[in-house]
Amino acid sequence: MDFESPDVEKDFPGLYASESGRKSNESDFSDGADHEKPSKKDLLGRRKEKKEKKDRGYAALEGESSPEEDTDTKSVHFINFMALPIFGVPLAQSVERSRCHDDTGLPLVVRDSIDYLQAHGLKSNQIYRTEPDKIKLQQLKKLFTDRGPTFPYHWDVPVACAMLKTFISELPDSILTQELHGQFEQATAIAEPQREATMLALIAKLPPHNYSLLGWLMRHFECVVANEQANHANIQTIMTAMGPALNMSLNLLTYLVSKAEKLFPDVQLTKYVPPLASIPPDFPETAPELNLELRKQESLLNQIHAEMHAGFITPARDQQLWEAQRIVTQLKRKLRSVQKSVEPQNSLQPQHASLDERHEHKTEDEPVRRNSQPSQPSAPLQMPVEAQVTPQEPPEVKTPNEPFLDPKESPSQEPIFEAEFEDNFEFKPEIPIKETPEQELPPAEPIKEKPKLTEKELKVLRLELENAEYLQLKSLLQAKINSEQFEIVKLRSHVALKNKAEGAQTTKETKENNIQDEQELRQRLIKENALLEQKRINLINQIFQERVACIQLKIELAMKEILSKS
Amino acid sequence: MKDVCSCLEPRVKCRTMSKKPAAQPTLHKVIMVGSGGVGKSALTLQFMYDEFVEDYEPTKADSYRKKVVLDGEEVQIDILDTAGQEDYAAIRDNYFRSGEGFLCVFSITEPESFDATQEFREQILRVKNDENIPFLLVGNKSDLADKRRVPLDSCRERAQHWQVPYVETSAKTRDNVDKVFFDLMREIRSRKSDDSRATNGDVKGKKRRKIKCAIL
Repeated sequence: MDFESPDVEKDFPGLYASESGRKSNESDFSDGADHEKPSKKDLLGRRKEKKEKKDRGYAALEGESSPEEDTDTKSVHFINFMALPIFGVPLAQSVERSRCHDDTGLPLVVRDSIDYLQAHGLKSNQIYRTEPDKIKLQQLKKLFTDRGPTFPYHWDVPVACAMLKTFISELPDSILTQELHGQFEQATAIAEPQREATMLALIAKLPPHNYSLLGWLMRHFECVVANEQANHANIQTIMTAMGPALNMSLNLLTYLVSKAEKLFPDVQLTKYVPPLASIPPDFPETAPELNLELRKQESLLNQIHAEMHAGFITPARDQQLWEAQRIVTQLKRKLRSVQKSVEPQNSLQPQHASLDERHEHKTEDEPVRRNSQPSQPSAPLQMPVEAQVTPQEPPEVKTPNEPFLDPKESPSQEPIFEAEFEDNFEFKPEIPIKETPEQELPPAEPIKEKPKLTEKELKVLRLELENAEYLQLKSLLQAKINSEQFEIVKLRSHVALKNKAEGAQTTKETKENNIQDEQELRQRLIKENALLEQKRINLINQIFQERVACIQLKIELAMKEILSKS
Repeated sequence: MKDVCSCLEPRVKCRTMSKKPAAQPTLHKVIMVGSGGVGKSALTLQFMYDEFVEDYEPTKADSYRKKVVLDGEEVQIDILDTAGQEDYAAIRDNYFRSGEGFLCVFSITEPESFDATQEFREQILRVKNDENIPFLLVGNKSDLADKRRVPLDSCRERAQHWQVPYVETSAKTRDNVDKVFFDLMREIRSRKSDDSRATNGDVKGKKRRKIKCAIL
C-alpha cells in the first residue's frame, strides 16, 4: 500500500471526476447533495476540454464528456481547482487573493498571525523564540493556501511567529522593495534630526501593501518589545528570529521598531473582524454599520469573482459566491429600508443611487421605462420586508451536531456559512471569561437585586443572551462543517488519484497474494475503528454537555454584569 | 473549548456527515437572465416579497433564497438576479456555471429584448454545454397588452424551436409569477432525478467494463 506523498495533494487538490468520486459523492454533502451532480459534470467537462482547447476562456472549459473519453492518465488537468498560491508570490498578488476585507490591505495570513500574537503572545516567553511544531505549521500554511477556516487549535505562539516568518521570507521581493532597500539601510547612518525625515520620506515611497505590512509588523514588534518584562523578548530576540526573513540589519530594525509609532502613525493593530457568515437577526440597523459590513462583503465578493476568473473554481467556491451575493443583497435591502425611514419621502437621495435600490421611492414622479401606471395599491411597501421574510423562513436546519439550537433562534436568516473567514475570533470572548471570572461564578447565588428590571424583562434578557451564544456556536459549527466538506473533497481527490495509480499498476499480480493478509488486516482495522468511533462519539457528547454548561455560565456572568450596572 | 474543535476534526466526521444527506431541503438554483429593463428584478421581488417596484434601477447582481413547498415537498430556491447590461457580463458568467435552471426574460413591449433572448440562450448553452438545461422563455409585462410589440406567435415559435416552455407573466399583477418559478423548479427537479439515474447506470456500466478488463 503505497500512499501518495503529501505533496501530491498540493499539486492535485481538485475533485477528481473519476467514477469512485462520483459514486461516493451521491450520498455525501448533506446540503450539497442536490447541486453536486451538475458541478461534477462540469468537472468532467473541464478535464476533457482542457486537454483539447487549452487556451479558450474558462467559459469554454465547461461541459460534459462521456466517460469513455475519460481515459487520460493523471497529468495536471486540475489546475482549475487549485487555490492560487498566496505564499511565495508578490505581496500585492497575495493580498489580492486572500486579503482582509477591511481596507488594511494586509494578507489574511499576516493579519491572523499578528492578531493571534497580540492576543495570546505578548506575555508568552515563547514569542519569537521557540521553534514551532513543523506539522502544525504545515497544516496551518495549507489551510491558508486553501482559504480554509482556521480554528484556535491550529494556532499557538511559536506557530504564529513562524507563520509570519514563512510568509515574509517567501515573498519574492523585500518588504522594503528592491529599489528602496539600500536607501533604508543607508538612512540608518544619518544623524538624528534628518534621519527621521529621511525614513518618513522613504516609507512614504513604499507601495501601499508594503507600507501596511511593514507598519503592522513594526507596530507589533513594538508591542512585543514593550512587554519584555513578561516575555523576555527584546529587539535582539526578534532580530534572531525574523532578521533573515525581513532581510534588515539590526540597526534598521531597531530604528523602525523604536520609532514605529512615529513612522506609522496611522497603523492601529485592531483585531480583524471578518465578513459575517450570516446577518444575525440583531444586526444593528444603522447605516454606518450596514455600510461597513456591506463593504466587507463586497470586497469578499470581488475577491471570489477575481479568483474565479483566474481559474479557482470549486463547488464550495461556487456556493460561497452565491452566499456572499445573498448577504450583499440582504444588506442592501436593509440599508435601503433604514435610509428610507430616515429620509423624508420626497427627497430623492442621489448618493445611494449606486446601491441599486429599486423600490425605494414610491414617489411616482417619473416612472422610468415602461411602468407608467400608478403604483399598485395592493403591493405592500417594503417597509415590513424584514417582517415578511421572517415568517417565511422556516426554522434553521439543524446540523447533526447542534442539538441544542432552538429553532426560533435564527428567524430571518438562512444558514449561510463561509468557511474561509470564520476564524478563531469567535472564541476570543469565551477564553478570557472562561479563564478568570467563571470560577467565582457558581457560588454567586442568584443575587437578590433590587428588581429594577422585572422578572419578565430578566427572562427576556436571559433568553436573548442565550440566543446570541447559541448563534455564535452555530456559526462556528457551520464553519467547521464547511471546512470538513472541503476536506472531503480533498480526501476524495486523493483517493481517486490513488485508485487510478493502483488500477494502473497492481491489477493483476498483487491481487491474489494480498487478499488473505489484507482481509485480516481489514478486519482488525474495522474493529479498531469501531471502538475509536465509539470513543469519539462519547467524547463529542461530553464536549457538548460541557459546552452548554459553559454557555450557561457565560450567560450567568453577563446577567450579573448587566444587573450590577443597572 | 480547544478540545471541542480538535475532536471535530474534519477527517473524523466525514462518515457522520455522509449519513445525513437529508439534513437540508433540496436546493434549486435559478438564474434570471434577459436584457436590461425587462423586469427580471421585478419578477424576482414579486416572487420573493410580493412587492412590485415601479422605479427602475439596474441590477448588478442580487441573490435571494426562499423556502417553498413544491408539490408537497419542502425545497429551497436560490434566485440569482443578474444584470441585463453587458457591463456586468463577466460577473454573470461566474454565476451561470452554477445555475441549475434559467428564466430567460424579455418584455413583450420591446422586440429588442426578445431578439436578445437568442444570445442569452446561446451563452447559457455555451457555459452549461447542455441542450436540455432547465429553461423557460418568459415574456414579461403581459399587463401592457396594448403596447405589445412582440407577437405571441413569434414567442411560441421560438420556444418551440428551442423546445422550452413559453409563459407570459406580469410582475405587476403577479400574473403567472409563481408559475414560472415553480415550473422551472419542477424541470430542475426532474432533470436532477434523471441525472442521478443516468449517473448510476453509468457507474455500473463502467464497472462492468472494468472488471472485464481485469480478467483479460
